[in-house]
Amino acid sequence: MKFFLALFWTFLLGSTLAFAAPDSKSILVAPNVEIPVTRYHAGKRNLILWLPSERGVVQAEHDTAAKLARRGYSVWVADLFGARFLPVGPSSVDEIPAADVAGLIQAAAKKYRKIILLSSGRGAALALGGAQHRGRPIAGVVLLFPNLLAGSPEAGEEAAYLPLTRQTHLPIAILQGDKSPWHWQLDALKQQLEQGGSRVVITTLPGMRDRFYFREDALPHERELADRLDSLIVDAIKSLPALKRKSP
Amino acid sequence: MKWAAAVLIPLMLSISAANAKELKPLAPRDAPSALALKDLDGKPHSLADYKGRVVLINFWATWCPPCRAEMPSMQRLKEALKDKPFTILAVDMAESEAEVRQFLKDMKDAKLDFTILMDKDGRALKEWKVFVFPTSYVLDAEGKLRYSLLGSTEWDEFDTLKKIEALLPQIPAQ
Repeated sequence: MKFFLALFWTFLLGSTLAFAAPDSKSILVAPNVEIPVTRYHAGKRNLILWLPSERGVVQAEHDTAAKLARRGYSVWVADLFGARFLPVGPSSVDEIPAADVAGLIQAAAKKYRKIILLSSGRGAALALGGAQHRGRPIAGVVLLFPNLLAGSPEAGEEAAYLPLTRQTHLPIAILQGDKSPWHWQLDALKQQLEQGGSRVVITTLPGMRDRFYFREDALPHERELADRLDSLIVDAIKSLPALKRKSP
Repeated sequence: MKWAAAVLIPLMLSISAANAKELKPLAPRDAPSALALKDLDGKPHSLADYKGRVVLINFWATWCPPCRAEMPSMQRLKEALKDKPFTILAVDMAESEAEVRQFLKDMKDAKLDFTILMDKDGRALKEWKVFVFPTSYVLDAEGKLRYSLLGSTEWDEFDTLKKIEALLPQIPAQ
């Protein structure tokens, strides 16, 4: 009996370590450019490559990555700001070369069969930018409250989106809270993304503000959903629409 | 203690003033839409009703902390210009009357009494292409857009007040 108990605990401990213990690795993507990545392991099938927003990598993302690993998704949380010694902020995001993300995708593709890009806010531009340079197919992109504007639109004028918005050809899932002005502009964003052949599925998160999962002033219902962010992401991945074949 | 206050208070005020955003001048042009919306009591409003008055249009929501923060200064601006042809229209984004009334109750010390319009289906927000909260526009007496501001500010600060006063139509002497 004691033997079986010991075997059970060894198995349990072993499987917990195998799925949850993260490690850190620097991935060389260009001469003298090493991107620090925290890796949450869960097998070699699915990898979520989590790219930072303009707020940098936040603790809630590490916590969610650990939960995703327990659900069978390996996750790489990449500190793209640190790699280039950039201060965390919106203008820094635009300074990160898309090739850095492409380099990460290339490195990940050597090990994983299916890669999903994940980011929020302005990090959406990093995800789509990196996807342009991809060498292998990416299974899709999950974007939380994405900001793909090229600048601040003036009253009543059509918003200008980053050109890569119209150049992406991928399945895309967008998660957007309805307590945000962005919620009301999603149709326009979807149209832009579809111009490049992307298929887009949008999930509205009722009562949520942008950055709900790491806001300092998060309300109880936002904190509650933040605790279930892993489920939202898994559902979003499952909802990724299949692409239409490009006509020859 | 007194010297610390003497140093710290002006310093804090200057930091606050430095953080406040400034109105961005616009080439005069027509408003994107008539902003035909109802107020909290169900009374319809339209920009055409305010021809001859300078209008501050403010897009906001109760859940937006910077929006809440600037509202007392909007009320002070209204009071500073109370004898002038000046109106504030605060356009609430797709919330219920109950939510807005609760907000006014919470802010009772600020005695907010400017007009709040209810953009229940986000139509005005879409027409005006609002991506940031708060977003504000100042229209001159001809109904032309003259200034914009993305983000919050202290509306009764000297520079802002002067810019708005400069738009006010001259009232002929009796």
